[in-house]
Amino acid sequence: MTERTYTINGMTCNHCVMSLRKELAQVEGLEVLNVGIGSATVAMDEVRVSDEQLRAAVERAGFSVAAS
Amino acid sequence: MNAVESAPTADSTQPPAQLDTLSVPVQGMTCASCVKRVEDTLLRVPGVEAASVNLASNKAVIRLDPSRASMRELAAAVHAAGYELALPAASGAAGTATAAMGVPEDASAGEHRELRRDLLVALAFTLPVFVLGMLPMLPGVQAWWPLSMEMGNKLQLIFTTPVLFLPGRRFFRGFLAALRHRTADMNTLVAMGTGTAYAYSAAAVLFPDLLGVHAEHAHVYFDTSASIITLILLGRLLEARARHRAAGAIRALMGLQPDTARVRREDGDVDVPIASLRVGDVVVVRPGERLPVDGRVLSGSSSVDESMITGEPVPVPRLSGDAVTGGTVNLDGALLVEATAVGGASVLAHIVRMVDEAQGSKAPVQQLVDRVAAVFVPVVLLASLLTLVAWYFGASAPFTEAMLHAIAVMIIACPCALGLATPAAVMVGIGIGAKQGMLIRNAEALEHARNVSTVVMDKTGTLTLGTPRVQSFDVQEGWDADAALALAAAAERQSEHPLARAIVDYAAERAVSVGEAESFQNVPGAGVLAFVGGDAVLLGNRALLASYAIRPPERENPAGQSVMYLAINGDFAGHFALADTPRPTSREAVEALHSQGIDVVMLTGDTEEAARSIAAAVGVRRVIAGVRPEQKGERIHELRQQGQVVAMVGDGINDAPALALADVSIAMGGGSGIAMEAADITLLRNDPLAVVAALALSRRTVRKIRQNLFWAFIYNVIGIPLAAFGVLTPMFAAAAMAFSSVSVVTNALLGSGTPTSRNATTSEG
Repeated sequence: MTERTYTINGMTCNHCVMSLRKELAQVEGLEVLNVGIGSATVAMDEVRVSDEQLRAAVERAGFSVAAS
Repeated sequence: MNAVESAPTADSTQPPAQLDTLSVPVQGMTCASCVKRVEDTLLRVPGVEAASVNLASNKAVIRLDPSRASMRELAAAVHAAGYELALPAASGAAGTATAAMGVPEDASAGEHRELRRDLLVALAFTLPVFVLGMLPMLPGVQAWWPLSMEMGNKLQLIFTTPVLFLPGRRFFRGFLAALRHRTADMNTLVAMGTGTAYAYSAAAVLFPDLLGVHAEHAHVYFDTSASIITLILLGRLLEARARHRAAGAIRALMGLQPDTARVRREDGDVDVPIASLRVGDVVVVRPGERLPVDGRVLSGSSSVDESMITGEPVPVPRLSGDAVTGGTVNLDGALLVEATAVGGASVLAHIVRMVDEAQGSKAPVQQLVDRVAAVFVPVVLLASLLTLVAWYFGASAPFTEAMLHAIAVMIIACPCALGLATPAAVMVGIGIGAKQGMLIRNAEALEHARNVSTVVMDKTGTLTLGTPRVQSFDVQEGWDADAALALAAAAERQSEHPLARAIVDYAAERAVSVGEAESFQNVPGAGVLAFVGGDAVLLGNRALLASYAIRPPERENPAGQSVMYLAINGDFAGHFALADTPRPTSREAVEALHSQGIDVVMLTGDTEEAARSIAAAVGVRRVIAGVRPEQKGERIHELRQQGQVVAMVGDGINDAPALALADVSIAMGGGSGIAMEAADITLLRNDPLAVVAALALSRRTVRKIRQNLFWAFIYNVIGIPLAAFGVLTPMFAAAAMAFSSVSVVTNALLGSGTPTSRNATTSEG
C-alpha cells in the first residue's frame, strides 16, 4: 500500500468533498484516508489499482487531478 | 351483542346483506318482562337479525337488513305491543353523530318532565284522601269532625279517581296492552293491585247494598290505591334521575363537540355550523377553543389538552403535520387545521356510538335474569291469588283483609329492581370507562375481563414507547458534542424516520439550537446526507458511511440497540446509540398485575436478548420472543389450552390475529379506527396502567351486578312471604318497591369516582 496525496482542481466546497468521496469509495483497492477541498489522500494497492483509474474516478466526480 | 338466530332465508347461498346496527330509544318500558317483550316483538319483524333491549338506558340495539325492514315497520310493531320506539329525526341518519347523540337525550328529558308532572298531580289528590281517611280515626278529632263517614268516603272517591285515571293511566294502559298479548308485567301488578282496592272501595261507597255493608260505616281503601300510585311514581322519578346520571358519560362526550367551526375561506374566516363542514376544509382554532373536527395541523404550534378523549392528563405538543382530534382543547397557540374526518366519521362520534351501543348491550348474566323475569309476574299473580284464597277460606278472614294481603303481594313483587340490576351496573361501568379513556365494546367484554388470569403484552409499542430514543451520543476526539448534535439534528429535521425524529427530540431535550439544512437527501434504508451551514453532514448506518469511503471504528452493539453513525465533511465524528425504551408506567402496571395474582407474559417478534433486557426493566418474568406476527395467535391458543383466561394487549394493527384469539382483546392505540373495531377494550391512552384499570373496572362492575341482583332477589324473597302473611300493608309494599329500584341504580352509581355520582349518593342515599 502506498500513501499518496493528490491535489484536485475544481473543488469549492463540502459538496465537492462528498461527491469525490462517493466516487473514490467505489474504486477497488483504494483506501481513502482524507479528502479536503482541493486535496485527497489515499492509500493505494498498486497491484489492484492504477494511477489512471484514480484519475478517471476524480474526473467522473467532475474534478481533475492537478499536474504534480 | 347477543347474536340471535334469524329466520331462515329463502336462498341461503346469497351473500349476506349489509346489516345496519341501530340504537333506538324505547319509551314505556318498566320492568324486565317489558324488555323481553320488546325484544321478541322486534325479532318477529322480518329483516331483523338481532335485537337487544336495555332497561337502564331505555334503548334497543337492533341489527337489521335495511332493505327488508324499515324503521316504520319496527315502530309500528313496537307500538302494537304497547311501547313506543322513538325514531331518529332525520330519516335513515342513525349513523350520524347528531342522530346517535341527540335523540335519546330528548326522550329521557321528556320522560322526566312527564313523570314529575304526574307525580305532582298524584300527590295533590292523594293528600286530601289521606286527610279524609286518617284524621277521623285519631282520638280527639272524632269529636269535632264535621263529616259523616259516608260523606268522607264519597269525598275520598272523588279525590282518588283522578289519581288512578290521570297519573295512574300509564299503569292501566300498560296492563291492557299486556292483556291483549296475553302476557303480564309490572303494569299488570300495579294496575290489578290498585284497581282491586279502588273497585272494592268504590262499590262500597256507591252500591253498599250490593256488598252488604252499611254506607255509614263501610271501610274503604282509597288511600291504599292513591298512595301506591304516588309512591311508585316517586320511585320511577327518582330512578329516572339516577338513570339520567348514569347516562352522563354519553352526554359529557356529546358536549365536547363545538357547534360551529371557523373556516378559512379565500375571502376571510367565516363561522359555519359543524354539520356543513367538509373534509378538506381548513379550520382556524384559537387558543382556548375546542377543536371542531379531526384533522391535520397545517401550520401553527400549540399544546393540546386531550384528556377528555384519552384520559391522559398532560397536554401534548401539536405541530405542523400532527394529527388532532375533534373535542380536544387547544391551549396555547393558534392552529390551522385541515379537516380529515367530520360528522359521523370523527373519532368522537365513533366513541359516542361505541359507548352508546355498549351501554345498551346485554351482559351474559342478564340473559338468565331475563328468563327468570319472564315467568316472574305470572308466578306472583298466582301467589297473590293463593294469598287471597288462603286468608279468606283458610283463615276465615274478612274479604277486605284477604284482599289487602293479596294486593300487598302483587305490589311488593314488581320485578323492577330485578330488571335494572344488571343494566344499571353495566351502564355505569362503561360510562366510567369512557371517561377514563377505556372504550369497552360490550357488556360481555366487561363481565368477562374480571376472569383474566394471564395478561399477554406485546413488547414494542405496548410495554415500550415503540419509538426509539437516544440512549447515548459519543463523539470522536476533537469534536464538540453539542455542535455535532446540532448539525445532526438539522440534517434529520426533515426526515420522517423514527430514528431521525429521536435525534431531533434528543437535541431538543439537550436544548441545543438547531439550524436549517440547505439541502437534504434521503438515502432509503441507510440515512441522510444534508448540508448545514456549508458543512456536509452524513448520518446513517455503517454502509452509508462506507459508500463515502468513511470507516467508523468497529464497536460492539448491545442487544436491542440501533446505532447511527455521524460524519461531518467526510470525517467520522461520532455515533448515536438508540433503543426502544419502556413506557414510564410499564413497571408499575406489571407489578400491579402480579400483585393481583395475574401472570404477565411478554410476547414479541424481537430477539430473545433484546426482549430480556426490556423484560428485566419492566419486571416481566415470562418472555416469549422471536415470534412472527402470524405465530402470535398460536401462542395465545397454547396459553388458553393450559387453562388460562388470556387477555392480549397490543396495538391492534399487527397483533390482530393474537387479539382475535384471546379471551379478552385489549388494543392500546390512541384511537385508531381499526383497533376500535377489533378489540373488546380499546385504551385511548397509551398507558399500561390503563390495562390494570380496565380489569379493575370489570371486577367493580361484576361486584355491583352481584350486589344488585342479590338485593333485588332477597327483597322479593323476603317481601313476598311477609306480604302474604299480612305483615306488610300494601302502602308499605309500594314504598319498599319504589325504594328498591332507586337503591339498585344508586348502588350502581355509588363510588363511581366522579363528582356527579357523589352528588347522587348524598342527595338520595
